[in-house]
Amino acid sequence: MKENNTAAITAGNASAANSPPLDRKFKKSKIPFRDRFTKGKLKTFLGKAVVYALLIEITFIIIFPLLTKLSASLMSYEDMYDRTVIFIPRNPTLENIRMVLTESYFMPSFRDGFQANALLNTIWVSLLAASLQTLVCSVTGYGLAKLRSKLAMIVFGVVVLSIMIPPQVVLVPLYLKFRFMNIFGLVQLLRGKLGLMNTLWPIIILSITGFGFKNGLYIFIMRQFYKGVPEEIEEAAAIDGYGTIATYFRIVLPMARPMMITIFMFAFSWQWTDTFYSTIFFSNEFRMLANTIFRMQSLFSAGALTNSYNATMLLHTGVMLAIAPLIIIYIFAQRWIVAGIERSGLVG
Amino acid sequence: MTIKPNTLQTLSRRRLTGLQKKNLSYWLFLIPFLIGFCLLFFWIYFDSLHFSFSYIKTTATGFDQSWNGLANYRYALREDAEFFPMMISSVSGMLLQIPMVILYSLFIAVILSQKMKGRTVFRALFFIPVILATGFMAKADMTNLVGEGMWNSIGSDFNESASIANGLFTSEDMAELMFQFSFSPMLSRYVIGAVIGIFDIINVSGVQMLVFLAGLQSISPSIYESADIDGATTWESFWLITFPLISPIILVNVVYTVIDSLTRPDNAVMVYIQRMYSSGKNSMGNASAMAWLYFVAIALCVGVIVLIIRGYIYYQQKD
Repeated sequence: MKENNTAAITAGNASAANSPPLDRKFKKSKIPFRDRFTKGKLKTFLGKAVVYALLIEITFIIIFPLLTKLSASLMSYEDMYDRTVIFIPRNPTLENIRMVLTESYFMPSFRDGFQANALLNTIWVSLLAASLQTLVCSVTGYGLAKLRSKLAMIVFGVVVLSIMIPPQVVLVPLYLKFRFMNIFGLVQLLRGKLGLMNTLWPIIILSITGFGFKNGLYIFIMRQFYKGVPEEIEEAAAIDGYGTIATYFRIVLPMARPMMITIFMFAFSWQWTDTFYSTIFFSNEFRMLANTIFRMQSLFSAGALTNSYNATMLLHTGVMLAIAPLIIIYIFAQRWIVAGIERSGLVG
Repeated sequence: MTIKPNTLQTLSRRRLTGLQKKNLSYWLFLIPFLIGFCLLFFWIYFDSLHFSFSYIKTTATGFDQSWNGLANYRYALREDAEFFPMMISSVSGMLLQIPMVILYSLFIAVILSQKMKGRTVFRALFFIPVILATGFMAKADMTNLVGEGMWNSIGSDFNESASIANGLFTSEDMAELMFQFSFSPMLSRYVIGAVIGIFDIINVSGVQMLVFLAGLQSISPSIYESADIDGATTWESFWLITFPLISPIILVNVVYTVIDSLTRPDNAVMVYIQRMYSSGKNSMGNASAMAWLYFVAIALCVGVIVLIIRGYIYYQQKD
């Protein structure tokens, strides 16, 4: 918009000397041919060309790893050793994909039962975690945005610390807590054994309390957003007789919807690709994609695969397949992510 | 509880108690988080801190824990040959990376915030790293590098094809090319380092780009219009309008970049600590001590950087 304006101004200056000011309607046809390509226009054209070239190049860098994974997944074993084959496989094969689909429990099969299917489990866990985390982080962020006491600042400090503390700090204690969790003996009574491993409960508990994967960041973002919401809106609601909670759920929460969609998308995709919590809480009894795609390495060390290079190839195929659903969801949802972040008011 | 002085003056005593009541009701929103912290995470942090001060012997049924004082920290800092240099190099690598990440993401955000053809497509493509660059994608590339090292020892032929799968084959081709054009090895090493660096930088700066874009959208267009009328060029209005107005966001992004680059799952120190957990005797104690030391380093980095940058930030007067 602005660029066009400046271009029009410079073009106008250049042609002002030999052509009188014209009616807008006829302007285009009355400009002599040699004046159409003024210096300003050439400049903007060159600028645009440079910008597009740069954008396309960076786009290439971004999708390059995906392309290599795609081509590696379609190559046969011989192609990988062949130095002359670079991107397009000479003997394309679906063998890798077929093997990964069965070995990493990708496809739903009635033989194993649905509990054993990694894809369905991952979808289910990600959806659950993302929706709980979005709601809880939003609520917590609102509380932190509105409270101005010293005590609340301490709570906010805890949130910031939880962002900064590396996950390795909590690795073992977190595992031990959930491995031997027994709330008033209830867990043992209901499950027949100690601990909550290989169930959804660890994820649910962490999400409800706002300590899930990267939740500190979400709380921080939501707090910044709510700080930008004008107080007058809440005051008006209070005059209309709404309590704090009713105000939040009826008025403030709908305003935060675009931001929450962004948070949901972050939470969903980061939970999907997360390896940290997946490896702690889930094993073979509750398969997650983040765990099963790394099975190729262990198959190799167990002797089922004869060549480690083959295992690497299969690993990349697995990563590509595990990411494919996420990419498909993203293509449809990216509109809302950008819209949400644009209205976030992260300016502080 | 602090209340703005001007509201205090206008309020009667009765209203004040109502306001206090309202303030109290906001604590209701924090209940889930507080319960989670008090009942679960405080104890998890406490346990971890306790581990870092104890000698832990794993037994068949579990482990025996005995007080070890500062010995684990002494081990991490003095005896372990790799940990401390690794931490230093990780921090200095982060410091080198920050300006590039910030410049790159700001640059792209400025381009993508302008109206142009195909903007939505480019935006969609540029945010792909946000969802992909964490988690198992990074882990897979890491495992692959391990595999590549193995191939290095076997033979260069295999290495070549292994790096094709890893997506770094261009760098080797380029090294060969630059050698043929007889560039000095120093220059070619630097250029190749930058090329590989660009790959990393693009992959890490997705979130920063989103945040910058959000900030750029919130600057009102009328400021630019009036600057335009006053005869400012695009270049001037970027440095005199966009840059000052966006400086608080630069701080947010710098802090995010520091934390993100130091706690990524493919960070060398993080990998080392994770490996430490399953190695030798007293591994848990040592690993916990290292993890806490690393946390202190991260907190120090964030604190120092915030203090330095804070002075240069321009805050728009809010009414």
